[in-house]
Amino acid sequence: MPRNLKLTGIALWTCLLTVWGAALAVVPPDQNQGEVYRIIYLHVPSAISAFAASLFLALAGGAALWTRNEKFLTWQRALAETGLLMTGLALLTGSIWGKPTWGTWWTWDARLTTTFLLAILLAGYLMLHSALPTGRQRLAVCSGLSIFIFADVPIIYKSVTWWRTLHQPPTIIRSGGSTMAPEMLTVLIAGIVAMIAMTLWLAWLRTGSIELNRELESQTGAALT
Amino acid sequence: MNSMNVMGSTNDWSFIIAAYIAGFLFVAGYAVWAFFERRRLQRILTALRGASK
Repeated sequence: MPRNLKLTGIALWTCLLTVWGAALAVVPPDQNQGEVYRIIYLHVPSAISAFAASLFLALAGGAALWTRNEKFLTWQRALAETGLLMTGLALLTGSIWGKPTWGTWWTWDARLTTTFLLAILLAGYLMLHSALPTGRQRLAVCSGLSIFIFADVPIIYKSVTWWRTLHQPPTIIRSGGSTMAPEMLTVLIAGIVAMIAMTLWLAWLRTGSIELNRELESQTGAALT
Repeated sequence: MNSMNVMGSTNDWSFIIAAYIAGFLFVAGYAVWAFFERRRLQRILTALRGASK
């Protein structure tokens, strides 16, 4: 593993575990929800990281179409994987949070359904990327899909205001300012920044093996992953 | 925090612990898999280069 990748990883893991420690032990409990609201420090950062991964995926798609450079396709694959990872984590932590607060693990609420759709789209991207042979067609089709996937992100964000939902409305970005206490908001923003950085680091780590696999593919004629 | 639609509250830490364990397993699990996958492919590539010499 390259030294700068390793050092960045150590720094990011330290940041993320510190934020999680603060979320579990430092911030006070919520007036309405009690202790269980602490899941917000994991749930919201993972959801926003999934949005960020989708944004970078679309940017990599645009860059690949513009330059025809395979390197951007490598980044697309890595970002689609980490985006799916974060979407899955957001859905899972939301489900764990939903049981004690809503009384159910899952409901076909607008926010949950559109987030589930993002997971399906990212999984579809990965299947398409694996199914198509290396070449200009794969680059064009995958890049087009990566831009299309991002269209779901603003729909997810606005779903709680466009439709009547069980999910609470925006907490951080809202007219009149955030309704969170400053000490809670600080830890939440730190968690969001740390998780987005971790998502990009994971994608960076993954690009190495995707490039190696492409090299092996060109030598042996068959993919090993 | 805005809790307009919140129906219940709890101080049961089992939900919180379960969520954070899931979070750690997701992130650390992917990182460990990506690391070993990279190493596995690097070894195969090195062996192939050695065999072709």
